[in-house]
Amino acid sequence: MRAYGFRVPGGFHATHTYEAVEAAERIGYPVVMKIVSPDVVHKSDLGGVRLNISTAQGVRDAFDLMMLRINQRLPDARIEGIYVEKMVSKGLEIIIGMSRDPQFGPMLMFGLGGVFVEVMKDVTFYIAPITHDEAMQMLMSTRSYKMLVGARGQQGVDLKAIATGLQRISQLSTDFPQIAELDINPFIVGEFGTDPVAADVRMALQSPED
Amino acid sequence: MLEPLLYPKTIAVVGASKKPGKVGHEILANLIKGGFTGKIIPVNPTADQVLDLPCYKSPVDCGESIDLSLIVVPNRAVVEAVKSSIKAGAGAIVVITAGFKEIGEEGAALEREVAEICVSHGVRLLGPNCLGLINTENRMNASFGGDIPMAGGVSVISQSGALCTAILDTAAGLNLGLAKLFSIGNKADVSEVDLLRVLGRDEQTKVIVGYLEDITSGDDFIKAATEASTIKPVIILKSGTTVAGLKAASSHTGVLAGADTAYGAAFMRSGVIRAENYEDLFDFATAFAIQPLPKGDRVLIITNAGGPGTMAADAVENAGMRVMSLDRNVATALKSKLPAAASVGNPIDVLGDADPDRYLAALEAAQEDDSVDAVIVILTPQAMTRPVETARAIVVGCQKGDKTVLASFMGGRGVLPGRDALAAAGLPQYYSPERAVAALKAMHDYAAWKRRPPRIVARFRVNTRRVERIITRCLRANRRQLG
Repeated sequence: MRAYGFRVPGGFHATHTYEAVEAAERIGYPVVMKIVSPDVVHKSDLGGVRLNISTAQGVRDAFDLMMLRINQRLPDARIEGIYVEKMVSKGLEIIIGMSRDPQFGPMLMFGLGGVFVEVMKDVTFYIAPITHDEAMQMLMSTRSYKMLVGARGQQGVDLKAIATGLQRISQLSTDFPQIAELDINPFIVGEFGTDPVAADVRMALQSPED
Repeated sequence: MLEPLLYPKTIAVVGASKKPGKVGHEILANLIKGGFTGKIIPVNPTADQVLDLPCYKSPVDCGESIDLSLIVVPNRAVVEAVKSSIKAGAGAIVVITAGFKEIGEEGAALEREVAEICVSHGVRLLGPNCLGLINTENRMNASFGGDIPMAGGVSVISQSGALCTAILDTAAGLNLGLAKLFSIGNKADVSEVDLLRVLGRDEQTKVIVGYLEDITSGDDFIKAATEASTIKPVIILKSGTTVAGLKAASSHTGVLAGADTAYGAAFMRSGVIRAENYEDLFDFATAFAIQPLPKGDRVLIITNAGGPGTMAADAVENAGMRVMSLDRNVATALKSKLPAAASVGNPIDVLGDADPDRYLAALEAAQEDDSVDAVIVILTPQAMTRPVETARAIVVGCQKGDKTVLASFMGGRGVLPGRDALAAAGLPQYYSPERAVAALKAMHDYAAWKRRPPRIVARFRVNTRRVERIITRCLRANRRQLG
């Protein structure tokens, strides 16, 4: 993601409790911890993600608990360790995604995160490659657009930063047909002028001959 | 490109039959009845004459070169009929016969064989398993879909033959003229992409209407549809779901991208107007065929009843357009021509006892007002209403300017003559104000797409080699899920 101009939370890979604590102290609290395993796709569903940990004891507890949970639920999963990264707190959570359609190629998706995507399915799709105007159109054609520009005394977020994110994913998915699906969820975006963060990214790959 | 298909001088009907009711009879009869301007050659090994035309055992026996061959023989005999047609000089072939891809693997193999023969000889193939085609320009009704339609500006591409017959009948009822009609059947060769290209450039065609169940090539479709949409409106009714909806998805995006979002996105990108149902298809086609595109989103409503006016206003707002009042000076001038109780706000209420003159005055006012882009005219049948005369007044008012005017005569039996008068004068007519507004919205969206800025895709400076390395490494390790 960094190679395509996205800011991702800085972090370290830890294989032991003490390494995790060291990492957390270096980054500064609060932190997020995520299990690293090629066999675990839906990490948070299996207790493989812990958010907002603010003490060294918290890191130790979380490390042990996550290892235990994964071992119980997926005894055969290969565990490579735990990733400790900075907790991004300020901003609106949105989702930027891509799914490759067999007919029309990469389709970009935009939606407001959480309940807006999962329950209300308030998302828009556009075929890549996409222009800046089209990216802005995508934002405007969701019902939750009002949330983006600011509602109920809430400050609006940097729309251009989201549009740029969509354009960068458009470029990535047209450059690499091997990427079958991609979710940036959440893509955390703040007020105008602040840098958005791709807090969690998931990708599905396919061989060119698939 | 499809010259011999659309403008043949000589047509052979291979499988022409003497028996009324058989496709081989009806299609020949349609060609003759339609008044085809070229020569028609029936082919049937067991007859000397069909419908008073000399009949030949094979297309090669007729002693002259044919341009187009219509094949209606049983599926097993199609390959032979295709070969002899090509030998006789055919540049295009229409296989009406069914019993190909749609019946399974055996039929699919037969279809491939037919297509390969045509392609290797540079001959274009329409079908198989189709209704044929119609070109009103040279009065060629090469279909078994009923009488040749009135000539006009709407061209049709349909993947369903039966829907073609329904479209022909509906168009006749609406007084809507057709330019060309293609039943594309199994699309073994000629597909919607070829036809979008041809119809996009066809001078007779003002509006392209399509019914599609699938699209042969996504990229080609977007290119051809964008090109056609740039010249004229393309309205498509799409049924069935995409393959994308069926594949297993591991991401949120993949799950949500299901069903027909991909088609929606492709249509939006290429300026195609999507009809959600059969009513939409005609509601939109009539509006686009007859009325100028609105220049903006400001809509004026003229009505003889409060309720329907409010319904129309709600529909306009919900569609993201604006309900607009007349300019103050124009409104004052109009006020003097209407009874004191009439409202010149928006909606303009010409009152329940409105005569045709009031409608005309209101419409004239709208035509001269620069703050109005489109007009919805509503009529409800009240005791003093004269639907036919009002329809005529509306037609007159329409011609006094370049605003988009759509009418809705609400009701049934009472307003029917008025509707007919509108249709006869070529004015779009809708059963409800909502449907008129939906058609207007489709026109507005298309106009906005046409005005869109040039597409410039920005390229960011990125590190492709780094991503390439990561992806290669993961695929080599057979790691398909990242993050």
